[in-house]
Amino acid sequence: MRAAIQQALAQNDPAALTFLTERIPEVLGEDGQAALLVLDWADTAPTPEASVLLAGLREASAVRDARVAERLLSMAEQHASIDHRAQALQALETQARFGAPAQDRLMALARRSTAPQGVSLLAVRTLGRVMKNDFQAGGSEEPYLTRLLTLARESENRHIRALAVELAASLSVRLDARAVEQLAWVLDNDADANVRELAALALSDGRDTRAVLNHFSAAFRGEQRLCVRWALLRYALRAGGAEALPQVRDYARQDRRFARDVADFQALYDAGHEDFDRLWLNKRVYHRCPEDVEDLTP
Amino acid sequence: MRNPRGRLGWVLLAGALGAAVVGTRLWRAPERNTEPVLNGSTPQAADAGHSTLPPLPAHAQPLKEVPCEFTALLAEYRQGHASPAYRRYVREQLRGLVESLSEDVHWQQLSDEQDADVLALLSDTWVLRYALEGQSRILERLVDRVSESPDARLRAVLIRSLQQTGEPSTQLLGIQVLKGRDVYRDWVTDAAPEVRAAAVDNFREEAARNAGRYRVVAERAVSLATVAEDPATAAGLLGASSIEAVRGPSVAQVRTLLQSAKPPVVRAAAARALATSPVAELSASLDALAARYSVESEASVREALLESISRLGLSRALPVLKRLRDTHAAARDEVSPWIALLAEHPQRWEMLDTARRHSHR
Repeated sequence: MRAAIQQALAQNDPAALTFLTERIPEVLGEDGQAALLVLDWADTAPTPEASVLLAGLREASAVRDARVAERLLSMAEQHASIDHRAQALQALETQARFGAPAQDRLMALARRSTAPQGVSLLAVRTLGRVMKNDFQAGGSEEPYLTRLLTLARESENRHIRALAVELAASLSVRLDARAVEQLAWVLDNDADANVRELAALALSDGRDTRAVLNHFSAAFRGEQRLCVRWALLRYALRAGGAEALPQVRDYARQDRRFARDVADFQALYDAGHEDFDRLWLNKRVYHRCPEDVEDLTP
Repeated sequence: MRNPRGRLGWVLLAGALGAAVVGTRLWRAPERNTEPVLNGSTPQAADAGHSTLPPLPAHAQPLKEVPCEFTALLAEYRQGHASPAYRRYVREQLRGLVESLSEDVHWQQLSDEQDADVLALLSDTWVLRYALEGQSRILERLVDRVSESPDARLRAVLIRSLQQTGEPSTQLLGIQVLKGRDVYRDWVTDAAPEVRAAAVDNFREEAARNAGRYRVVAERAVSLATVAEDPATAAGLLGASSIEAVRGPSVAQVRTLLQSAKPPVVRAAAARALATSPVAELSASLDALAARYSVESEASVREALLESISRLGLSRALPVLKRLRDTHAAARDEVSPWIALLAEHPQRWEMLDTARRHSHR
């Protein structure tokens, strides 16, 4: 198997590499012992070969063996090669769930200032993806969400804060009062416009729509950036539907750039739209967002 | 959103990759043999610590000579049934060879083939000829073959291959190709369940490419649902596509099925289809769903009706459901959970659906 991978790499043969990657889960099945052997190989293999081995392991049932998951987590934390660490994190994305200790270790990885940014981002993404696996299988999103929202408030890296907020918004689940307060804090205080925009998206899933809309109104007044204001406007409707139209009319009075948008939304609701996702497909977009972050101050 | 052009691009890319690979040597999958991974006999010391690729160990013989030839690759495919990954690999190589294979030889092999899996490969690559060259006779030959084959399983395989046409075959056949012949109508009313199921699968797969928003595909699915006599086929056609892109008369056809179809499974499928009614038909469909609930006696259909009323109406469903709840005692237990879910004023079906799935946690 390894010789075949090496040959396919040497010949730069993507079709053969795809086959070999897909062959690994077929051969491993649920055999945790064999998966540990593949991990042994990946540990010492150079990056391209390790990538094939770990990408194959990711899709094998055996990756959910507790010993395998533990080894992958250690590899993500400690391996000398950044690529190995990144691949190990991606191989962990197919876990059914993480207990509190594993969640804490990923969080520590996301916060570690010495870790390369890519590794930290992958640690957050893995936490979010496993949250989704767990949630969709009937588990609780709560412990993951708590950690993601802590990262959203406390990370010094704006990309990590943005990703943490985005993942928090990825479940279409109602957020409780505490999560709403935390996201409202991000909306009011984050220095990065993209993070604030994503916070507005996540907030629109808050259980208490009235509280969400109040936060949006306050944030709109204090917000300078066009794209964040535009996000607040459409997400107000995503949260409150046609009943929030008076509120967004008020936004358009404060900022005339949104007059056309509010007229469009009014017409769409008048035409009978109910589901915001379906309505949105029919909305023309006039604003170029996100703005180019480089030439604007937050 | 994927468009047919993009798909064709991928088909061509896959073909080019395959062509580049064939002619080099291939590694053959061990069949039902886990030894190469499990015995770990390959020396690990050879590459430890090196960042470049080491030479192959002398004793490693992962490769096998495979002639760059269609028939030989087909034999590989035939023998590779233990590994779906290997079959996908050989399949990609074969796709790359289609252009160099004569049409007659290809057709001969297709006509002689009796194994369903191998036929699927031959027939998929046959339809690929149409995607590459766009000549109607390619599809006409295949469609004629469907009616000539005695074996229903093989006929179903040929029909499924039409998913490779690039543009949805369900809006192609009878309009651009085989003008005036409604072959899908023949297939959904065919005596063989395999054939009917394959036709329904094509509608489902092709509609999904555009999130159910191909108007022609959705309208044909609805119109065939009205002529399909087999309940599972009619229900499958109604569930194959969202109807949000269809015009008024098609929505009216679905409402008629909801009202008058005898088999409960068809009424339930009609109810679920109406949940995706176009906005202009929203009120009429909401009324039809509510009216049906009042007279419907089948539990599975009542369940579908309540789900569709909630999904289609969201906040407008609340007054409707409250009215239905008070019609009789049994309704109260069915309707109340939906009223509780809608009390949170979800603005999107996805959010309502998530809440519903997790409400009994």
